[in-house]
Amino acid sequence: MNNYQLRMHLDKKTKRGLSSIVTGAILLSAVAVMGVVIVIWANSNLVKHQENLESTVSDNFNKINEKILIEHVWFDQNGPVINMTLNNIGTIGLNVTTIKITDITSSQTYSFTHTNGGIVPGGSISLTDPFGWVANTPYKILISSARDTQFETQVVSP
Amino acid sequence: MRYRRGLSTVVGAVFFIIATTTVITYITYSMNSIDNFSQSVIVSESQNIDRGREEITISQTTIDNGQFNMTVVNTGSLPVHLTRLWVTNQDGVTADQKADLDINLNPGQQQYNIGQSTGISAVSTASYNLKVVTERGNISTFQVSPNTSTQIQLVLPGEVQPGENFRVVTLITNNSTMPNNIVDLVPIILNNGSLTQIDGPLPPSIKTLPQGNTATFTSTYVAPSSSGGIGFNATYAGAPTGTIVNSNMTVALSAESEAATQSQWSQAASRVGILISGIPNPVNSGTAINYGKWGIGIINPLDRGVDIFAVGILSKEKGLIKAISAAEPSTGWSIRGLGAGADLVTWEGGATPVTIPAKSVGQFRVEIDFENTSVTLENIMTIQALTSEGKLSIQYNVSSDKNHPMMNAFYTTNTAAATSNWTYIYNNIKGGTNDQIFNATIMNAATATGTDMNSIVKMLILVPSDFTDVKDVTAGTGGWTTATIDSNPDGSHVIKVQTSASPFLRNTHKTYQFSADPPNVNDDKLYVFQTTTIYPSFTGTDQSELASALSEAGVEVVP
Repeated sequence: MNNYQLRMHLDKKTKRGLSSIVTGAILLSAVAVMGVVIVIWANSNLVKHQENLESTVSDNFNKINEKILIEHVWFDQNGPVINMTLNNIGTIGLNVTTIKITDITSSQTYSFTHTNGGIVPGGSISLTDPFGWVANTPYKILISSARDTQFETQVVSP
Repeated sequence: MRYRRGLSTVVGAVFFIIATTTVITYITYSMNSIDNFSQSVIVSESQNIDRGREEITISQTTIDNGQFNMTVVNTGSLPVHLTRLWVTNQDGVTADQKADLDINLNPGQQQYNIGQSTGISAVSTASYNLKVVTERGNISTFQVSPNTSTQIQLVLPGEVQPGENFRVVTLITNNSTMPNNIVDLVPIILNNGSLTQIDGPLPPSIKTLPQGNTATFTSTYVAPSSSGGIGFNATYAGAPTGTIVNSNMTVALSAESEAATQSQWSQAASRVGILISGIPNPVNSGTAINYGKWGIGIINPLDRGVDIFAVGILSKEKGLIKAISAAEPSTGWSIRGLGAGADLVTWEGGATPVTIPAKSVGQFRVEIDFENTSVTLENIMTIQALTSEGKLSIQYNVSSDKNHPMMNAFYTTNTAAATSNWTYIYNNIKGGTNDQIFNATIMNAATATGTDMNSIVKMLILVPSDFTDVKDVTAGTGGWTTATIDSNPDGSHVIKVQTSASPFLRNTHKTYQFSADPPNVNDDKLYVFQTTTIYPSFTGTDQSELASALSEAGVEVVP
């Protein structure tokens, strides 16, 4: 091998090593970026699932522990009014938001919204709604809480 | 090359560790959440199970002091905390009421007096729904209402005798299909007869009649004196409309009883007859004139008049009758010696007989003085009447002596002048009159030479059965004691009265007044008031208590 050939051989050897490094760096960077992205995506996905799970568990937990006893329902004899006393017999506080009364005979439904229906555990509340009840008629009463738990009873007007 | 290979491994390992840690964290969190949720479900389910095991029963409810008095029993297997009582009055007017409770009951324990001191008032005739609420959310309901399904039974004797005591038994059963008490149950037992109630209903009421139970009430009555049907009905205070039971019974005489108690004059007179309208007995036959009042009544229930041609009072003792004083008719009377055997006081109509109109009574009255005799005479007097329906005759024994009193029995139309207004008939009494007054008089007609009656004198008056509401008007005044009025099984009444003081002086009289309601009649109807006197001390030598002045007064009731 002459000098020229030797120099060419050395030049050739030197150029090949740099590209490998560059290539390697590029690949490593790409892998790192992709890895970070994947990890971040996966983590965020898991966090989202975790939050969903937490929300679901919390909701269901509260719903399970939310219980109302419809203690007494009576119809006011002096006017179109229905009264009811509700007991919170669960272990957490709840908020009564909606009362739906359905005339079982005619299937007509009347809805009443309450904003002050909070009941602490072991407490009770009496609610009054203007309702043109008809004598000797069966009614279905559906009570909904803020957590959308529903409690139902049936009464017959006097 | 060796260094580069090691770096990638490190990077990969870091990624692996991050990924693994994240996954494990997520899984751990999920497992914890699921575990917490499971625990919550378990707790909730435990509460539901507890609620299911909790059981209370309102076993008894009464009303005391105007408030409910409930007994609540914990029939479950867990302690119970009662928190509220709700009371709904079913009258549709009264607002629902509630009271807070704070009562703990262990399993098997019962608590009395729940509802007292709550301020919720209650009455036994109203209907209530009661509701007791527990802390776990169970509710027990109970009803207090007389307005519920009941069965009432009335047990009566089929037939009773007049005047007989009999019992009426009322049974009331609470047939409610719901837990229900009838509290302070008061039976109401009515009848359409004029019954005297001796006692009952016993018990007068019961505190509470639980569902499925029966209460028995017994009442005792006296059957009326007259025959007939009696209707009873029974219900109770607050009963549902139409909850009433009716039953009937009969008051009737047995044949034996009727035969044993009916006397000749206890019913309406039904045939032409002669009445001993008035016979004095005993009779004073002293030297002074002692007129006794005699009367002969003719009763004519026929639809035609009866002619009376002659009447007479025959004495078997010749010469006993000394003098007479005619009263009615005022003429036609004479004393007729009939040979050696008898004397006769007679009225003879001759060509003008007296006619007793259809359905009426007539009378012949005369006063007779007996001759002074040295011995006591028990003389059979025969009273006769010759009528257009035949000859009528009746006998009566009279005791006479110069030392006897002179007892007369008659009626009077004027109590202020009874002896001068003596009579033996009441004509034209209006049927249906309330409290028609009758005046029965006893007189000791003995004058100066006669004697007093040395004891009380009794009088018995038989009032026929059609007359009702017999009352003692004199009522212990005018020298009389309070009368006893007994009912006979055939519906007639006997008035028993006596003078309140003795002696019954000679030449005095006492008038006893009684009243009765004559029957409503469609046509004239005739009755006889048989009046008998008793002189209890008229006994001993030459005397007999059998001596009794008698009066049979004819009474005509008109429409």
